[in-house]
Amino acid sequence: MEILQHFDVIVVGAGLAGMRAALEIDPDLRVAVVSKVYPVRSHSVAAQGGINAAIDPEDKWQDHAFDTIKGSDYLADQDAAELMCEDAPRVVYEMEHWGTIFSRRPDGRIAQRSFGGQGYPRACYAADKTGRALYQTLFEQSIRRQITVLKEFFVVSIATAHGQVAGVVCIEIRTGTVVGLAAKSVIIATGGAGMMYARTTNPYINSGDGMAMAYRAGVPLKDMEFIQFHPTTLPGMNVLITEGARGEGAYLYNRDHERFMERYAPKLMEVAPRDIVSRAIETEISEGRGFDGDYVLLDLRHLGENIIKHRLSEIYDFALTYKGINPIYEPIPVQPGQHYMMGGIATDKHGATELPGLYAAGECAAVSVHGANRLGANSLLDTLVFGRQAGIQASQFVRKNPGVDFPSADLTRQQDMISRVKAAGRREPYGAIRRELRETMTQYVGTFRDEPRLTKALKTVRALQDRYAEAGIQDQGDVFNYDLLAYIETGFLLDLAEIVTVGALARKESRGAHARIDYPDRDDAQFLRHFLFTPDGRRDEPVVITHYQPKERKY
Amino acid sequence: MAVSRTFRIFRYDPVKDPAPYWSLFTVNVEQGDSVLTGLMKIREELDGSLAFRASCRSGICGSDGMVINGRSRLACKTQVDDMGHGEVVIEPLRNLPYLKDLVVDQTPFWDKFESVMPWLHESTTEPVPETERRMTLAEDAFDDLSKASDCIFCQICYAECPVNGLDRAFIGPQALIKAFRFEADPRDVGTNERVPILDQPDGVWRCRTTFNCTVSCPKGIPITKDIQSLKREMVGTYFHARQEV
Ligand SMILES: Cc1cc2nc3c(=O)[nH]c(=O)nc-3n(C[C@H](O)[C@H](O)[C@H](O)COP(=O)(O)OP(=O)(O)OC[C@H]3O[C@@H](n4cnc5c(N)ncnc54)[C@H](O)[C@@H]3O)c2cc1C
Ligand code: SF4
Ligand code: FES
Repeated sequence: MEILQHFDVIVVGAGLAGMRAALEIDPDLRVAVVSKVYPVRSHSVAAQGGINAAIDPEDKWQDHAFDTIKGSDYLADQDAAELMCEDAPRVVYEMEHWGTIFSRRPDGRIAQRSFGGQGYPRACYAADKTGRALYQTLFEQSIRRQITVLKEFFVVSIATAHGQVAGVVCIEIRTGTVVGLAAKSVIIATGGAGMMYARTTNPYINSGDGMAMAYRAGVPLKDMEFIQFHPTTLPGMNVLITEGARGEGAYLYNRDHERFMERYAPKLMEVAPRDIVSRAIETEISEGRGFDGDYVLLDLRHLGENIIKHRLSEIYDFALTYKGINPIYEPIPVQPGQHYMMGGIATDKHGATELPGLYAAGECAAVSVHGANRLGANSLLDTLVFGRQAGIQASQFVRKNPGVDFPSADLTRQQDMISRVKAAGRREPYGAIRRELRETMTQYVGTFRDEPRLTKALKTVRALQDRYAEAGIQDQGDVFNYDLLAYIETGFLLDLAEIVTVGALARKESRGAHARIDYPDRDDAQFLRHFLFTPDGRRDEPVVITHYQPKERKY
Repeated sequence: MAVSRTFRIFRYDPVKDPAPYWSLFTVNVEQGDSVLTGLMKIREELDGSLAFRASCRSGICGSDGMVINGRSRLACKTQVDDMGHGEVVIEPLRNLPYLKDLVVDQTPFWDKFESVMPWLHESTTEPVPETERRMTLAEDAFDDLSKASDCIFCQICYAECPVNGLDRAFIGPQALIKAFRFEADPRDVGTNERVPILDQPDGVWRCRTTFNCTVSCPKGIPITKDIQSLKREMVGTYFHARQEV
């Protein structure tokens, strides 16, 4: 049985970007936020270290913009980066006003710490639980404003008609019912796709759903070859150890007890941007200066118990819980892990995609403010700045456009898909496909890349796609069928993995997080441009340059 | 080194099962693996129909509260090694109706949370700050506030509270900790609106200081202590009101 409900605006995703968008939409419009998990389970709550804003009188937003652009290895669109950095202080004050409990300086002002690649300590923070602090505030505001949230509704596809967005198709997880949500405008805010990798800081739910759905609807994905690997994650589960630890002054040591960052970024040392620190660690490990089990050490001991317990309380807990290590007395083992997608659904600087009525914001979007490498503490900012932009734009779009009829055939198509995979059973389990995908991406499309490895990855991904077409699920029921959801997510991940790999093969240069051993230099003449992918193939776009001419990137 | 462990799991599918039953699964777990890792293996490799919620894998999203070997815990923050050598016995959280396998109906919990008006009631005279608003609090007071705001909505306190088990109307520890979070915030002026909700037989006064919530909260929030602070505030408000008459 299928049902259809009508709205003006549907926001897919209840993380920071989705919630901020929903709060900005005209209250007299019919809006609903749709989320596959309860809102507070969204990954935004996991963010630890901080949110950047030039709020100190000595600091300037222009400097923040410059650091962001340099950090991006000049691939960020500079007009968008400027918009974000100029808006940043307003964002922080707004959140403070709504109730966020930021850490404070002794005089009561919001405290700020150093973060990678920033020329000034401008990351505002709430201990090492900044995401939770910000998210709770937005969640509380959503309750105050009585925003409708369809909880545990899994969106499967974006519906279009007459070249315009018509709504979304979803599965109500509790009942298994296929539900159509007709809307004049849709905002996608579904977060990242870390589940493509075996070693990742991302949660199970980050499977790139929104990116893949947009792509399938013909909307271009941009900068997909740029994947961020965070330098410091706990080996094994790859739980994140925030960059804020290094921002507070923690050191990285190799097996010979050298502060090896001296060799890679003599000026910024441990607080160099993430791409540089991750590569440094990988190099130390591959040249035999790491420890057995592929890790180096992060030493917090000299920071003292007070700072560790107050400003780094979560990671103190993580190290104890997952490694039995007390960072007050012992260094923490760390290794790089997938962390963030710089790429995503191509939008303009107001969140609009090429499909009329469709907007995107947050990690699933590529505005692009992060270019080839995102600076720490710029993503939370991105979600709040561009979530709001998308909300404003969607409201305006709805006022001007009557909307199109919902294509009800889309509902039948999903219903048929579900019947088909249930009938296929577990002949070819998708679980094995997903495991192989994650291993392949970690091994061959990681920090260091080259033609042979990427070619191998592409071949494997395509073979997995063929197997996926035959795969099925075991759970024949309708109620809370997580088997079905994981199957669908695996399909999304396979689409995206192919695009990431194709982009990485085609970009025959090294820029930001994309390091090709066979093309070690940046090549502005050929590649100072964005790759955009649709099911029809690749198209390139120039990078927007306003004030900052590309220079060599040194720290 | 992988060892093989047996998980005994509470099962129920409302569509086909007349009553709940136990399923036994044996999986290999590595040293340091969480119970959640074991459950994921079971779902991916042995029985795709096993239902449980999970997301962050690291004790920050609150998805996977469940009863493991008799106590409510987060599956991702509980290591299999710490659960002895016998079976790992897993059941849904108590005090909330179960829907399928380990998935419970969270509605009562959220309704109670929302009932305390859990948002910052800012003073109407406070202008929208275009510059920085300062907040000075003694270090201890700030720590209390910060700690109370750590709640990840895992529902473990709600499930472990014996009063919640007996009296469905009791607002429960989590809603109270949320109320405390705002009451302790110097920026909040919502006390007059919250007191009528809290100062009820099923509000703060039903708490019997059993400390189950405090002991089981995975974020180490001193829930009972904070509820006691709220009680003191209620009494304070009462005498304060009498003096003003
Ligand atoms: C461990 C960790 C720490 C971090 N720390 C920082 C930091 O200190 N500073 C910083 O700036 N950034 C940090 N980041 C990055 C930042 O947290 C994220 O990029 C950001 O929070 C993403 O927010 P979002 O709103 O785009 O998506 P998310 O918060 O991931 O939300 C996605 C939403 O989409 C929903 N959704 C997804 N798919 C579907 C579907 N098919 N149907 C329905 N709903 C769906 C989900 O339910 C969820 O509600 C960190 C990231 C990680 C992993
Ligand atoms: S107070 Fe603690 S136990 Fe209760 S819901 Fe919050 S985090 Fe969970
Ligand atoms: S999965 Fe998030 S708390 Fe356990």
